[in-house]
Amino acid sequence: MDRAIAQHHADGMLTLLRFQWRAYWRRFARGGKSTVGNQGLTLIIVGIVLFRYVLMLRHATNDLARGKTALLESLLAGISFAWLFTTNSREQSSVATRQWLHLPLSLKELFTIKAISFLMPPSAWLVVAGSLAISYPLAHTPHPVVGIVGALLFVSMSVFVGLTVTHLLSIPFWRRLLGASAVALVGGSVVYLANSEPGNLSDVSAFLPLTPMALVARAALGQQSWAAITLLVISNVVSFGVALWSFRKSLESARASSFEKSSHLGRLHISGRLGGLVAKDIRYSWRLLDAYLGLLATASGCFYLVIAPEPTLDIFLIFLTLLFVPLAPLAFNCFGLDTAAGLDRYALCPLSGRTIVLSKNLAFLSVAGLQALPLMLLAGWQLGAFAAVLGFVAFISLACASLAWGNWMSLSHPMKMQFFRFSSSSASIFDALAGVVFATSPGVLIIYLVNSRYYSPLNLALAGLLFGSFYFFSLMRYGRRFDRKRETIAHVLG
Amino acid sequence: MFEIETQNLTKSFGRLVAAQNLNLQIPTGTIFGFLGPNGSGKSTTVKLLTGLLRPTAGDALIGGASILSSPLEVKQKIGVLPEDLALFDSLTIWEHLLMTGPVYGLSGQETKQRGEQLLRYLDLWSSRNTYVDEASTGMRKKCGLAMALLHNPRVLFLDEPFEGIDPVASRNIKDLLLIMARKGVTVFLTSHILEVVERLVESFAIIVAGEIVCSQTMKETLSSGETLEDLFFKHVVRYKAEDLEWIGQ
Repeated sequence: MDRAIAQHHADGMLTLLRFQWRAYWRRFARGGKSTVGNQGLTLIIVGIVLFRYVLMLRHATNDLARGKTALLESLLAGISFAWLFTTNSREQSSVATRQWLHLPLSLKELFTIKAISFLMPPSAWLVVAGSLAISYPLAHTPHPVVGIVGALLFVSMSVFVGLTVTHLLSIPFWRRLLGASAVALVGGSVVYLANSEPGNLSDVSAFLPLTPMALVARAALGQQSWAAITLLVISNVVSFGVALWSFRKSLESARASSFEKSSHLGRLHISGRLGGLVAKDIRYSWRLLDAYLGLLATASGCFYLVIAPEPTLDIFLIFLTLLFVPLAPLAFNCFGLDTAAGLDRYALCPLSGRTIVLSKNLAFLSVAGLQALPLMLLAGWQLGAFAAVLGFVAFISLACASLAWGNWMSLSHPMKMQFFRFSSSSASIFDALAGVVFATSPGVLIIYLVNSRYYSPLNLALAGLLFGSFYFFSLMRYGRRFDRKRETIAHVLG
Repeated sequence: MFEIETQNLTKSFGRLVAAQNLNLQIPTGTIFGFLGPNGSGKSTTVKLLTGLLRPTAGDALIGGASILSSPLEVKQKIGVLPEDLALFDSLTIWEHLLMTGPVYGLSGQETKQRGEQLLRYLDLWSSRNTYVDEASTGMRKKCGLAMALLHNPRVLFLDEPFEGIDPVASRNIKDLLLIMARKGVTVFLTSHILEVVERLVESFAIIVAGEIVCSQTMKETLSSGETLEDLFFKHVVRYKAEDLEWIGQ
């Protein structure tokens, strides 16, 4: 009887996974393009990384033969990062797990379905292939079997850690805690590195033999192999338990009704006709993890301006330009965080397409401006008022270029983005890369102008005017197109 | 004077004709019921009239303005409770109202004042800080209704306004619609609850498979000795529950 019930449950899970698989692939057919969901772009990037990775495996094999483990450990860290990205990049399943809570499935069964769902996209297959390929250098070590077992344990632990982070990011409390921890960790590291002599770094390296990557290397080289494997097994059990616990917590968090929450938008008051829409989009933007990479760029730039003995204008402008790279998805896919119903609301408002696109652009400008402001203020303090003015011109030009390209891409290649995930545009590799090149070109041009004989305030103003006119043209053209494209975008977002 | 007037309004999705040559004339200050089974074209018609869909052929005039040539003028005049409610995820009910008011030209103060009155009337004030994606169906619907009413529109389009609404709010909405109609607001509503429609509307049309099969006033219906339900089932095929023999065995 128990066996029959177990068989019944297994059949249920397989059926759900089969339909999950079907729904995943059908979205490409329904979208009408192979680029829907950004898989083409991701696949190409992962493919390039994988090619480079295969070359590095050879070097790792040679290094291991000489007893050097640094490259192997770096590759393992890369695998761990790849899994973190795979599980966090976007919601891969077509149906959120909490929508299956009413089905007669246990927590472990739901967890299994979710874990397997992450393996459906082709980009995940490449990560699996890359993870298994680490066996190649390990197969040439004195203890190949133990080493490969250690690597497999490491990979499964990475998957569990990735899933844990995904689950915790969906819970407001843990999201804040993880964010604060990340800031504290980065800040602490920066302060430590800034204040310590090179010799003191040995304090940190004392802990390195205990990292999971080092354990795999030790297992393969026969340095207390069984102790290393035992530690990896314990790490796996613990990480699996934590992943399951965080999964349960995330489901409970989704079920809990949060009545009487504070009104964030009420606090973020922007006057004017578009104020409410802009405030909404600013809030949405901060729910995309890419925006926080922008903060990282700002923090690095500020750190440089504060600690460098003689900070230069060029490096400041490079940091300002780099800020627009992680922010590109916000400009290049400005409807990505909306829903089909949200698009309907835009259509019901007595607003032209141009005004709606303008409200999105203003939100982007606000988010980018907030991130660039500390950088520009510090530049003014350290490099003088001229640097601050130049930074402002560069910022406006960069924003105009990002939005000029972004308005086209937002309407031509929209894709659904998820809150608290990394995302990017769904255009072809050429469009995306060309977009990033174009979006950062004002920074490059201004650096060139400042260092060349063509430098003059007039030329700087002309450069700003050029990108301003690109933006104006883009707003006029693609704003008008929004009315015609709205149904297509809503279809993609739906 | 007709507040809503459609001229051969047609919408096709490939081979499927969702609305075919619709010709409606709805006078100012009327509550008009648009009835039909699921998938008959009711919501498509509402979407066409409110600018959510572009007609394949034909046109419609709302308050004298064409939905094709003056869409923004039309949108400024109308309030809409659409089928999908058109709400944004991760915004609270109150935030939706704060966002909507200025778009229609209301000041912040006026938006807050009207918003509070509407939410109190709809018994939603105490839940105003609930995120709409965590709110119940009824609360979401009331939020959509408050957004539709906030700018005091001359024409109101309501797609299934009573579905999922508690009896008290339902009664309040009915009272409000009657008062609005007396003050000259035209209400175009779709509903499956025939008893409610019967008591509320002055005229109605039944749409089946994209075509209007019946259009008359309630007075005409009642004077012929029929109920709205009788008339509805004359035009709509109904299957018998007895055919599902296996149910309950």
